[in-house]
Amino acid sequence: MRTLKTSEAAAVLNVSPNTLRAWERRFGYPKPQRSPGKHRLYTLGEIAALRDALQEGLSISSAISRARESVAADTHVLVGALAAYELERADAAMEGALALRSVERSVEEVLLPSLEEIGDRNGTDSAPWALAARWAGEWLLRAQRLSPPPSSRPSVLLGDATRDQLDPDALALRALELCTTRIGLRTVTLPVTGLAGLGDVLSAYEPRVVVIAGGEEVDDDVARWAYRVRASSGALPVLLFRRGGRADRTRTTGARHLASAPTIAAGQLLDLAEGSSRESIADDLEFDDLATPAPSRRRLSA
Amino acid sequence: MSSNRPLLRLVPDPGSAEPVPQVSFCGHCGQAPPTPMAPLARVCARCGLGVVISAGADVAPRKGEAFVIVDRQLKLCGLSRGAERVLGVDEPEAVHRHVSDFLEPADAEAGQGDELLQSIIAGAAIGGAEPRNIVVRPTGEYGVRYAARVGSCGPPEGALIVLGTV
Repeated sequence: MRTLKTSEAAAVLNVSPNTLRAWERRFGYPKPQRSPGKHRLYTLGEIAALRDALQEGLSISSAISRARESVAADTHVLVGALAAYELERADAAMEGALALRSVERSVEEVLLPSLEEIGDRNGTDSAPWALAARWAGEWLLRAQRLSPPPSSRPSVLLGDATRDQLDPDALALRALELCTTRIGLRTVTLPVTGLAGLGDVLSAYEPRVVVIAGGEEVDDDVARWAYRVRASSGALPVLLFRRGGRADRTRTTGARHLASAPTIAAGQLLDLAEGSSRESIADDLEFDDLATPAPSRRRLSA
Repeated sequence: MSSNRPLLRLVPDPGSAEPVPQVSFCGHCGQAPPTPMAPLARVCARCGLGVVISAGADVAPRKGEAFVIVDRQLKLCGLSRGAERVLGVDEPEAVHRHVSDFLEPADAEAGQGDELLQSIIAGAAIGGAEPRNIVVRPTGEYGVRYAARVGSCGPPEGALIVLGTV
């Protein structure tokens, strides 16, 4: 997928970079990603769709609406393919989505909403859901295998508290894995029921943040696992992801919920794991356990 | 010569009627584009929030006049900055909503007023219709009236409703 800088996107649309930023504020479109240096990056497909729509529109609003529709068409195609059990066509729909968006946004804007619709239509205990969920899980694993290897950035431990791969939250967890990997974090996912040998894995990965994802495993099991993690790695921030039905804050651990959108959650994890803006993130998410920061490595060695 | 013979008289040739000049303006700020625009450029270089469109000079908005643009399905597809103020709605929230959600004929007693308004707008949106004048008001509001000029605009073809003072 090709991306454009602000000046390049503005040139394609025959507008100034300021106009492009004004559209983002007023209409929320086009929606850029951010480069590692925090610069805006626009997907070529989105800009091209908007350029075409502008030629046929009577206003910026209607052109943006038309461009959004053409981009949203991928979701309809994917739902149609999955509903017809045509998995090759589903693969093609995702290829089409990737032409317009990043991998992360394709997952968040096309794959996950499409699966949600399949689940709503048929129920998540149905055969159509099972077929679609397996396909989606495999697609996410393929995408993860094709992701660039993680950099030397710190690692994140994802505690898998989902039921199995047909649990809707399991797909969100796979998506979070993908997003954290692509953002450069080393990510290791372990089931919260597996305690044997946990310390060895943790000493190899040295995670900086722990996430408990999914709402199937009971609190007692999760607490036991979290205790073992704490015993091996020290006091780490514990965050919840898609642990639905629970209160917004789990008082016993002080853990807070990550955003349910995988891309946003991955960004929150990156900020937290890098510790660059530890206080501001703590303010945003109100982590109780960040109020007293864990001792730094330097302090430990001293 | 018989006195009751009809007199010959000249009638205007429709083909030789003085064409109304077209005026270009921004669909948001209503101002004329500052300079000749590049062939593919359609966005107003002044405000950046509207597409430059054209309409007959007899319909086009004059300075300070609010206006809305309606498509063939009679759905709003653009509001000027003034119309946002007058109708109390931002353009992104108003697009794709039916024009009757925002404007209706001011004379509530006149039967089939909605149909009349819609036929005028539909005629203008399809193109070629003569500009019409009609008194309208914001839907559901009494005591506020506008002398609206309705005509074609584009491209693409649409209806322009300029809200002038009564």
